[in-house]
Formats: sequence, structure tokens, C-alpha cells
Amino acid sequence: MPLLSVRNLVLHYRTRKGLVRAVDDVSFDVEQGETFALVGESGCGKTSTASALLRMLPRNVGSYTGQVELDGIDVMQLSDEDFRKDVRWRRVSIVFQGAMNALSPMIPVGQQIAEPLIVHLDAEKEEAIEKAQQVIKSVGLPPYTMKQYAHELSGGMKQRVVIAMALVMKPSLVILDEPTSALDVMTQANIMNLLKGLKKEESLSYIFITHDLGLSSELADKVGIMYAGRLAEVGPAEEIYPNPKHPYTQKLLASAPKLRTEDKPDSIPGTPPDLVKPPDGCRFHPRCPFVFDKCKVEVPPYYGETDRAACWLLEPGR
Amino acid sequence: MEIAGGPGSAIGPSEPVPETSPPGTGPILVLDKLQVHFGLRQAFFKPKVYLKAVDGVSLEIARGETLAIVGESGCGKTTLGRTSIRLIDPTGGRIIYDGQDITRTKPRDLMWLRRKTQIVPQDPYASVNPAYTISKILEEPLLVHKVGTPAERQERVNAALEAVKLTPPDRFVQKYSHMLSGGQRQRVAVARSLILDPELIIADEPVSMLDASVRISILSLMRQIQVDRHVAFVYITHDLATAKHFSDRIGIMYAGKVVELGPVKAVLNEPLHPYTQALMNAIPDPDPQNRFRTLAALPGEPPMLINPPTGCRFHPRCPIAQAGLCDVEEPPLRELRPGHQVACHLAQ
Repeated sequence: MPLLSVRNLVLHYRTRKGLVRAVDDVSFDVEQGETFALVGESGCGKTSTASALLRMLPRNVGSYTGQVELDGIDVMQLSDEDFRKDVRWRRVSIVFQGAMNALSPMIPVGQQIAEPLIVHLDAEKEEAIEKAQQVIKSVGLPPYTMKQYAHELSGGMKQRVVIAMALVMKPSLVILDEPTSALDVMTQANIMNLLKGLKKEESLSYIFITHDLGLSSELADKVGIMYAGRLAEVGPAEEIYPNPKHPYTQKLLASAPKLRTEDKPDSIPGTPPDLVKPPDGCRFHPRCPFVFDKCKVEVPPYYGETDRAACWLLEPGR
Repeated sequence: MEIAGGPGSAIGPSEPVPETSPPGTGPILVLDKLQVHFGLRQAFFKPKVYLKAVDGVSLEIARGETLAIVGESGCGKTTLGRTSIRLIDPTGGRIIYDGQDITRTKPRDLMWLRRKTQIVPQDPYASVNPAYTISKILEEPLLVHKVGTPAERQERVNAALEAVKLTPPDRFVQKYSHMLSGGQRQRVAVARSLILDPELIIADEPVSMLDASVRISILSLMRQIQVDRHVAFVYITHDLATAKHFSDRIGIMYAGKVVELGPVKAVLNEPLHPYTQALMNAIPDPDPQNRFRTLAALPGEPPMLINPPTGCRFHPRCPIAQAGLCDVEEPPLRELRPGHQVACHLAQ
């Protein structure tokens, strides 16, 4: 049984312009110890998927449905209070994009790391601080960091603190939402090495949200390519990087500038659609070079065994 | 923050004058030992300290070429770009624009330079006036420089919009920036930089705020303009991979200095400086095998520019630094291969 199983997840927002279909019928599994990379352009619904999994929703939610099973628990059935107590941060935690800028400037970082233990587990303060010390060590920071304030730390160190906060409750799943987007390349490389090490040592499961296909390959065992609120393609890293099936995945890979080959990056014509009025049929069809009549009308199902892509080109007999 | 001459930064007539050539023949821009030191007073009664943002950078930019300046944040690449067209005053060294020394020319005598050089800023959300229509944004430089009649100006606005592929121009001229996407705004910023037909454009991280797929289209557009109009670009970026595909030459900066400079292919196929090698190692290309390897990343952080390390500024992080040499003596930029310079004692 997978650690996390998501079926037909929907998250729509009400706005003055109409219903924004940020997450629209998304299904995937994450196994224990596996990293699932969720890749797509900005505004494709990656972060909304994370919000839906953590049930951290704004007030203007239009609809929020689907099945999410985590550790064998059907979490969508839980009340908000039970979800807060038993799921959020205890079983699933998140490293937010730019979270390092949200550290409190007034409280030593060690106390900020220990706080969820006191709030969620009613831990004694000494015990919480001790656990925080262990996790500070595991993210590669010296012990005295505990007593430091956010302004005394560099960007890379603050990001390590934020990762420590996500790990302190020993959750079974950690969501990483663009965890290195504000960092320099060298710091980014160090953080990626840290995340790899933690994955191996603690057998952590990640959902890694990024727009960078090169970076996603640093962690991903499985990749989900998201486009306009839907998953265009989901498959094992071994298949999807060398052999992308969906035209969008192909275009996205071709648009990534590569340092080690001479292939010129190629831009994807057009812009992602407005999620208030997404195109009928396949949502990628207005930008797809292989579009034909059926694509404009009918939503394609997923084809394929391990690497599954929603594209009419893959229909058997074509 | 105030700009002031740091110690030993006097611009004296005793310094050797770099070779200059008559206008229109030599390189468009020559920087000679350029220095920008910012004086900071940390407390009222304390003496000033100097932040050496750019510390002795010499390079040339040829007409119609794209030079990428690559480095991590805080390495001085933005200061270098802005100083080279006198948006910041240098505290030492020389700036020769088209054979003419502009190091100390008074700002009011630089109107001609403002016309020939332009800048494309980083953030298209902050750099485009929200109260102006696109037409007004693009016309403003023409009004400032008193170019053409209203009809001619309108024609130039339309031509610039067409050059950046915001077509048909009629659809855009009366719009406001909030009606455009990030990529379209950046196209407006590029169009504005083109409207006066400049010879040199400083593009300071022009795509870092944009989505990955939009980045490529903006960079391809700039490359196209560079070829079509023979404009020189300085492309300031932290992204080696785009620098590789959209530039002719590349300069790697570390802690206020250029540590390696040469043709893109030469530098990236055979990086001579350990810092360049480290930067390249830190960037993954898409490959499912990556997750089984550790990235060869350097420990530590770039140094503070107030008190940079002695000798080679990279030596505290350098994997091959030799005690007694690298921490004592500052390596000069040497030409090790034709057109390919490196500032490292140990590079061969």
C-alpha cells in the first residue's frame, strides 16, 4: 500500500472572474521512501496541490473534494480539528517557498524549531529543545545555531533551519515547495545534497515541487508533469526524462537550457491558459504542435503502464 | 550609502592611459582596472569602511557581441554593469566608451551616452510605470532626447513593439502594464531599451523573474535583436546555462573580481578557474541518475566585500589552494589560451 494515495483531488477557488480550477482531478501515489517531483510552469496548480494536501485553504474555496489516503487513514474525512492535531505537521509537513524569510526575528531559531513539539505533543520544554538539537545536527548546522536569531544566519543556514522545522515532528511525508528558489547555485547544491542525505538516512518521502526539470532530477524517483490544473504525465524518472511521452513534457524538457550539451533550448509557443476558462478537451491543445480535432473536444484518458500520459496521440490503434 | 574614493583609488593622470582608438573602430566599451568602493559609516563616530563591490576589473566589449557576466549574488556584477555606463560613479580605473574616456565626465555632459546605452532591468513589475500606457512608456525616451515629430515617434513606438513581437502594435499601445503578463512586460522593457537605437544594452538579470519557458523566448528575442541590429549586450546573470546558449563570451565574477574571461565554448568546455569548475558542478542537467550522486558543491559562503580574504579571494573555499602562495599573492588575470584569461596561480 502506498504511503500517500491521492485520487481525483479537486481544489477550486471562487473569484470575481469566476471559478479558478487550480487543481482539477489530480491522482497520484507516493510510496514510502520515494520522492515524487511535481513539475510545471508557474500558475499550473503545483502549490495549490500542496495546500490541498495540507488542508491549508484560503477563505474563497469553491470546491475541495477527492480522496487522500495517508498512512492508511482517509484524511479527507477528518474534521478540521482532528486534521490539525493528527495530520498537519505530524504526518505531513512542508518547506514553503521563501519560508526562510518568515522566521521570527525575535525568537532564537532553536525555540522556533522546538515549538511544534510543545504545541502538538505536549512535550516538556527541555525534551523539545533536546529534540530540536538533534534535528539541527541532522541538517548540518553547528549546535550553537540553536541560540542564534534569524538575522545572524545566511540564506543557506536559514533554509536549513526551515528544513529542520519540517523534520522535527518526524513526519512520514515532507512537501518541499521550491525549497531553493531564493538561493544561489552553490547554496542550492548544498541544500540538495542535504535533502538527498536525509532521504537516504531517514528513509523520508518527499513531494518536491519545482519548475526546474534539472533540479527535479536531483531527487525524483517519480515525476508528475502538471499543466493547467491537471497532471499531463506521471511516471518513473527513468522513463520520463529520457523518453517523455506527452508533447508538453517533451516541450518542457526541450526548453530547459542544458549546461553539458549543445542543444539549443527551445521556447514553448503561447502562454498557459486562464484557469477560469481552461480550454476544452486536452488543456494543452492550443499550444500543442501535434493537435488534431479530437484533442479540442474530448479530455484524453491516461495511456501507458508505468509512465502514464494523458494524450490522444497515445491512443492504441493510432 | 555614499560613494567615495577608497584608499589608493585616486584617478590620477599618472596612470597609464589605455590604448584608445578613434570612434567607430575599436571596442564599444573598455574597462580598465575599474574600481567601485562604497563608503559605509557603521556608526557616527566610527571611521568609514569600504565595501569593494568592484575591485580592479579590466575587460573589453566588442561591437555587436554579447558578453555574459556570471556570478553569485553579491559578487559585484550589477555594480559592474551600472558603473560601466556611469549610472554609478567609479572610484578608480577608467571607462572608455567608443574611444572616449567617460570616467569623470559630468553627468550633464553625458546625454549622448544615455542615448547610446540602455539598460533592461531585472523586475518587469517594478520597472514599467503602471500609470502610463505602453505607448507613453515607449515614447518617453524619445521626448527626453527630443527625437522626431509626434508622427515619427509613433512610428518608432510601433516599430519597437514589432521588434519585440508584441504584434499587432495597435493591440498594445493603449494598454497599461497591469494588463500584460510578466513576459509581455519584459518585452516592453526590451522595446523601451531599443527605441533610441542604442549601441550597448546592459541587461541585468532580465529573465530571472520570469517563468522557465518564457525566459527562453525573451533571451532568443534579445539574441535576434543583437544579430539584426548589431547591438552589444552585457548579459548579467547568475545562470551559467542560459549564459552558455545566449552569449559569445563569458566573464566569471567572484568577490568583486573577474576570475575567468573568454569565449563561451572555451570557458565552459575547459574551465580553468576552480571557481568556474565549482559553479558548473553545482548545476544539474535533467538526468534520472542525478539522485544517486552527490553534487560537488563548495562549502562556505562568498566572502564579505568589506574585508575580502588576502591573496586570491577564492582561496578559503578553493579545493586546490596552496598555502604560502594563494593566501598571500593575488593572482593576475593571465591569458592562458588565445582569448581565454584566468586569474589563478595554479591554472595551466
